[in-house]
Amino acid sequence: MRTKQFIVSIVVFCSIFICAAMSVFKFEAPNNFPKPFYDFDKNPLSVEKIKLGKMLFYDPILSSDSTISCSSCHSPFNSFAHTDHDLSHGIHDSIGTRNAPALMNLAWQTLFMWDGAINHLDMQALAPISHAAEMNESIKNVVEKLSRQKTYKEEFAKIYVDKNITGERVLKCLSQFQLTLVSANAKYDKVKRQEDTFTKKEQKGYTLYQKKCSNCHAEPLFSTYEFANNGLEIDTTLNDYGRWMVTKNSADSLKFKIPTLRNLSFTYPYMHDGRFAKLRDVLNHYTDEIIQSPTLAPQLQNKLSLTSNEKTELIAFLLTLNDKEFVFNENFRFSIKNISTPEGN
Amino acid sequence: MSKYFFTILLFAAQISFAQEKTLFVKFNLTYQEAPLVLNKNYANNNENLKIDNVQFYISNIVFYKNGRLLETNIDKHFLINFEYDSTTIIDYKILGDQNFDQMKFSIGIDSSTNMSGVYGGALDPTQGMYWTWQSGYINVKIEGIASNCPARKNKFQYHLGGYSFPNNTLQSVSFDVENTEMITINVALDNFLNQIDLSKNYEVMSPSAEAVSLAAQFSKIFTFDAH
Repeated sequence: MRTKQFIVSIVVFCSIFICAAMSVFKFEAPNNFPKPFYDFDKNPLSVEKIKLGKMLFYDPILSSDSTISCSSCHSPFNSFAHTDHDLSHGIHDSIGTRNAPALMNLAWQTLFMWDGAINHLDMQALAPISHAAEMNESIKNVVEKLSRQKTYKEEFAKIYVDKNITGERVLKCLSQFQLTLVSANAKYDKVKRQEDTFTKKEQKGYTLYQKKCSNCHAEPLFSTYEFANNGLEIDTTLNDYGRWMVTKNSADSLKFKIPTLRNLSFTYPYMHDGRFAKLRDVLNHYTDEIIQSPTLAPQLQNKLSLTSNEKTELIAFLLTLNDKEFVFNENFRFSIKNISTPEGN
Repeated sequence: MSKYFFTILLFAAQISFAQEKTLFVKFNLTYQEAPLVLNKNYANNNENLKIDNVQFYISNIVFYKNGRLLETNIDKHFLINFEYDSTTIIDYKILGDQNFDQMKFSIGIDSSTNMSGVYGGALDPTQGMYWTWQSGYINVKIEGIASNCPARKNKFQYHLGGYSFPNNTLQSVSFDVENTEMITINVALDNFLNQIDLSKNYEVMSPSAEAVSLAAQFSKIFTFDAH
């Protein structure tokens, strides 16, 4: 009995000690947002793990020749998207087949990538790490490289009692940083919180948005994050059939994950293949260029009707979804002291 | 409050001190009724055959006595990799001194585990048993070289996985077993490969109907070794 009590006390003492070493990060869902989907109990956020996740996010050590980091295609200044390129490019200037999506409000999403091939945020990073045209590396080798680095050895040792660097930990830390990328301080959000008001033009645009766009780009996340065929003409240089390539179900042909409308000004070009450079091109697609096909979204069976003035009003509203506090948040940025030392140093 | 906390802790501690029995389950990979040697040349219907990689996940191990499920205290996934002998014996604890006459286990990883994010240990993606381009564990990996296989360098590769309908490759097997501490399960790989025409069907590496049928075929080569 005495031995048991002794062991119990040791266990209690150790748990207190372990807890003390970590600062809990309280994830606060914005008031106007639904309950997050991500299960934080399985990966409880801590200040230290978020910091380590950020370090990994900005470190090209994740790629096979240490040239490409997550931020290469997900830049904080572009709401973590990749501008100027219709198709994102990775290692050795290889060009991929899709436009890197913006990263924000990831805790509310269930499937990742344009085709939903990835079923959990924790597993998402494996795809770009392993892709030959992105980072061309393996998670096994990433763990081995990190384990040889003084900086990472120290950072992991601060967090994990056994000091081990594992694939699970690398991926969970990357998730932790990305989960903190919450964008909910656009003018739209402030209007909803009654801290601001729409101009007349924005209000008219909001009404148009509610009538014409909100079925798929639903408030407050401005996407249902479901998959839809929005009537784009197939690009025969890519022949990308989207979700069908994952499910092999013909009903999913040409369907892509519906992107959020938040931070649109920062995330051009638009669509899965970045074919439209301007917002107005996107609106023109919906009013004039919808291609009929068996899987076309029911909401787009008839082209949207919007006058030129209405398009201007709609764009005025869409610009209220830009969250400058998010895009220029210094906490999300790269800091030079984060970068790891080259191999062997 | 703290008193309750202490009581709960003490209770938890007592459970962990309860009598446990450790069982060992040993997987024997065989070929033509002898232990399979990786990278060894075998003659198979006038063709040369070499097997260099055999790995699979074992999960949800449960024991029964007269059809009644016995209490167990761990829920673990094991990766059996025949390159490393140490992974071919797994130890498993059951509570108390319980007798059993039947065991069941799954070959592969269930869909709920597949969909709930990253895990460590045997399930860590660094094990190379997780697809990166599309989420999902590879439940069974069998790779080798066959002289009649038309692929590059005559390599055949079966990466059997897929966790959702209609391509769920998880298999469940059940055996009548003797109540011993060391349970030996034979895995007769020739019985699997003999049913495949390696000149035609040599690469299965994504969730598909073919993967499901191969996974079912693979599960049939597991037998309880009565000696």
